[in-house]
Amino acid sequence: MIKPTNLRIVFVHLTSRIKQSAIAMLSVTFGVCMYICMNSFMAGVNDTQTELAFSTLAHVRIYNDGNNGNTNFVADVDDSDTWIHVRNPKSIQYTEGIKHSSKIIDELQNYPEVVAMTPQLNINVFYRNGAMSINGSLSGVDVVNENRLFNTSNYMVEGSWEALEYRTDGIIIGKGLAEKLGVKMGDPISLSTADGIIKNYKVVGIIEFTIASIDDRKGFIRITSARQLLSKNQGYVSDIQVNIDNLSNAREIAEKLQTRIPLKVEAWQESSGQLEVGSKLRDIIAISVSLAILIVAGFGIYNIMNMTVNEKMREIAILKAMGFEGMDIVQIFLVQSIFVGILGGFVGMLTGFGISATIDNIPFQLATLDTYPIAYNLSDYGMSFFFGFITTFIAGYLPAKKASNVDPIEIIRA
Amino acid sequence: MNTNNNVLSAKSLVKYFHEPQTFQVIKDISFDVKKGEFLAIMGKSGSGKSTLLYLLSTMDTDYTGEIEINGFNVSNKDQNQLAAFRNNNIGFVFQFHYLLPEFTALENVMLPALKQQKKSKEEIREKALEHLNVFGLKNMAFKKASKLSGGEQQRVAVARALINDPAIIMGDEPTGNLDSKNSDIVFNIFREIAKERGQTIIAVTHDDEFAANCDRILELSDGKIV
Repeated sequence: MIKPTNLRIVFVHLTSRIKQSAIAMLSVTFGVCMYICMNSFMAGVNDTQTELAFSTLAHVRIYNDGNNGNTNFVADVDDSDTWIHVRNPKSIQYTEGIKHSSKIIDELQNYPEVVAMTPQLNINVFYRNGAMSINGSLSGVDVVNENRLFNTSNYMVEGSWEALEYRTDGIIIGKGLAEKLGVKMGDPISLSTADGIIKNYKVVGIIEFTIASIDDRKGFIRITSARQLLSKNQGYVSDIQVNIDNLSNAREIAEKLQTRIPLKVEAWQESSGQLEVGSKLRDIIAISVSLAILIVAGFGIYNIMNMTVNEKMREIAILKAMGFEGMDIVQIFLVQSIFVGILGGFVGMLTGFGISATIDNIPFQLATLDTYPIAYNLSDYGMSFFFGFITTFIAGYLPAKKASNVDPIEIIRA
Repeated sequence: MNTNNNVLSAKSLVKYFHEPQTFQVIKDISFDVKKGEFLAIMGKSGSGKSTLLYLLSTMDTDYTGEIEINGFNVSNKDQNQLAAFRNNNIGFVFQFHYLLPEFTALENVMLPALKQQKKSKEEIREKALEHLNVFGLKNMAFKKASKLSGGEQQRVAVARALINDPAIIMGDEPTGNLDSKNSDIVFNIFREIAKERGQTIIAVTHDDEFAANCDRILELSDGKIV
């Protein structure tokens, strides 16, 4: 409980040294403001990075990684009354790709964490235009679901993503690939597969992810067309890409799915570990730099409160002579710091927001960005205030404790 | 409460200073002070008179012997108990005024009573104004303490010492820093307090004139009463 008499003394102390109080407050404001700006920017960078990365990467990928753990040819037969006789077993081509995708898709429907999924048929092909021949990759996609997972339509530079749905011989190719082949919208190109099958397609769109390795190699066709190209059955896919509600849980969910699905289930952290490392390191940098700033702010407050205590030695002595206890003195000086901390924290959050919003509008045209990326996370604001408060509390407590230990006789007799 | 009418009694007080070297300042002092008595403690500088006063004030607890004030044994009590005890029972007047400079005269006077929290703010305010009035400081009540003259500050300090109606008022050279006119004013206030309200005054002084008009003089020399 703060006693009203002590509060009155706090008020007089603060208002009789407005300038010092303001400087103390500004140091907290600066610290909190920097914390928010740094972390908002880093979170913005991370979000952009993630968004860019997940434009081609799903949270969980299910595919057939060869014969590993898949040599039991009778596993699919669960009828115990069936007598099976296997003689001279051999690994045959059946294990390539996923033959019956609908079974797995049905299984995935049971998981509420799964928010979207799309089947893909990824193959390596040669893109040909006249004498030009370029090795690249081709994705046979489910047009609607692919867009749901990756927002592919956002990256279209020419034509529309939906055009694939309407033309069985339509193909969308990467911008770099189109330039290399020298093709434009509406031009025909031909594909040839490893098996030597050649088929003609018409360019219905050009896409740019701003990731050169993809833009220079990738093409999209309808999954049904891709099956035709490979002469595969309905339901044949090479990958099932799955998005979940919270991408940081991908590992746990992949493990859960693995127990029910006899294929390789791979979380994004496994296939693209560098992404996770990158964003974690950036977070650490942001937090350590901003904490360092807050600690410096803490020293500022400590300094000012220490000076105040030294200046007010005689007053402290007289208060003690009049019957103020050690706790009262601690309260008087600590409440001053806390007040400064809270006020500085609020002003810091406001200016932090203001500066982040300004940065958010500064043009920065690179890749898919138009302005510097800023994320507005309530937790950053909460944490900055919390850390600001803790720093001021400690920085205020030490001088207050010192004040409470003042021996009145020493001061009065001196 | 005090059957023998003593408001303070000290028994075999001994105090050492340890810095810069061990030195016995107070050598086995015992004495009693009656209710309403105006006592002066005199002695040359270094005789231990101020030290004795701070022992009696309960602020200095590093001694052996017993001190009883108003029927309450204050020896070997913890600091917080003593702080509350001082607040209720002892008023202080120091040589260098020691007001809180950023507060008004009125607030300075009110502070010990606000701390005591026994009366409402309005009552305290009224009482403080009344005290200031009696001491001829009516017009100064709302001025900042730092803006008052030395004599005025000392009168405010006396008013502050009296606000909680303490049994004892202790003064460390209360007139030491004042001119003779202001000295007289403060002395007369003390005199009146002792006589009319029955509050006890213990003042350290080396002003012979001041001491001469007290009820009793306790003369200290080398840590002993002579």
